Amino acid sequence: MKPNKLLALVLTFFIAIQLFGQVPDGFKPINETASFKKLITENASETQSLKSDFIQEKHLTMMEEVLISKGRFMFKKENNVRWEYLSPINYTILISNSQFVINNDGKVSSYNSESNKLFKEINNMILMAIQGNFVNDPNFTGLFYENELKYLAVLKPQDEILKNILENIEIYFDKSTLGVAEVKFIEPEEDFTLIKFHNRKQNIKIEDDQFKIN
Amino acid sequence: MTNLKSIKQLLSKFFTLTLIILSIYGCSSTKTTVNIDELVKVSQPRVFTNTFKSGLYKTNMDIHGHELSGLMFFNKTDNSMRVVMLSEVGLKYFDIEYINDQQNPFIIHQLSELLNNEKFTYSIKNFLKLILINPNKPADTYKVEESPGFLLREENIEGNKISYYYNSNSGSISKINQSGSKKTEIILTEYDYLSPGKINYKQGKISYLLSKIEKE
Repeated sequence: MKPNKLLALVLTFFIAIQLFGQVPDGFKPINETASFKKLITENASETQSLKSDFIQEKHLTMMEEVLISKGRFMFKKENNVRWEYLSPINYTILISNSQFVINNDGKVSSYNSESNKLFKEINNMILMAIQGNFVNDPNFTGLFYENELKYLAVLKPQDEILKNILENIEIYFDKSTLGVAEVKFIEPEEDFTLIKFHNRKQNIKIEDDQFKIN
Repeated sequence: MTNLKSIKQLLSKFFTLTLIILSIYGCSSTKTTVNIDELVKVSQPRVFTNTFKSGLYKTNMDIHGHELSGLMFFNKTDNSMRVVMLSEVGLKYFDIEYINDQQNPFIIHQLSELLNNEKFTYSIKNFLKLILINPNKPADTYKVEESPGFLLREENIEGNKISYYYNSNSGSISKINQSGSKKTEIILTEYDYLSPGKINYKQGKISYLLSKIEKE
């Protein structure tokens, strides 16, 4: 065998190992990604409202302990979000159409997310985390996996601002409900934020007042 | 003779007045310089105790009118203090390590583009340098404050006088002043046995307020 061919074979072998290594543990690639995307898109379009509690875990490589925050969120179509931390801090993000309001322990600040790119991206990410609404988002490219219980979408940001902050986003869907069970925001230095949702209620009545600061 | 007598009377009045003025100023002086050896017996000044391992602070920053909030986490290792600030939603603003090295005490592991400017980097380094005082480093002077149980430690770094006001029993620092063009004041209150409950930093148009919170 010629040295070039041997080198190519060795390289192919290592690339194959690397690609295989990228498949998350316990998952296999989804063959029919078009069907999966259709399923997620249909579920997102059927979701008129959502309410759930969440636990947010911050994992930092420099420390053993995990920082935990707890809270709840509400969503109502088209673009109304209440993302509220209840412990260990009181901090609420309200998004109503393009208005972005933060209540930081009683101190209220208001922003227009259309004129602030960072807030617009946070708005998009929250909606994505809640609905799994990423299929037509040009800011991300995706790889899709599944196991017996879950679907997994691994999204890589394409936007320069997001690329500096995030390596990728992993969204885990419960196969039985198609609801988002967990979202993992992975940073370039391998630190990550994991948000686990529980007590999820879909298409229930939520008053508009929930998206306004009282 | 009359002239000599009046000069003597005048001199006598002058000395009396001088003594009165000196005694008044002497009484109102709040500080007495004392020998460092006398203070060996009392606690060394500190913000975090030797047994402090980690602490979480809710943090509000005002940087020239731009507000920033989040959580600041202090994590002590054998030779350093790692300080990480996160937004409430978990995104990292900075990750800085303060090590026991006089020449290069800071390792910046990460700094968000949002904060990567001279004003902020000076203020955060200055804040950490002041609160992470090395008690083993000899001070220039130690003084006894008028308030019972309080001491003052002073040191000069690059022409700036840094004053630490601290409790002689616990060593906990209640106030830090830095003189010079970048005049700074830090007020530390609500101490538990490991660390302060509140830290209020002010330097020109930059201020931080840190409030300790219990981890989940």
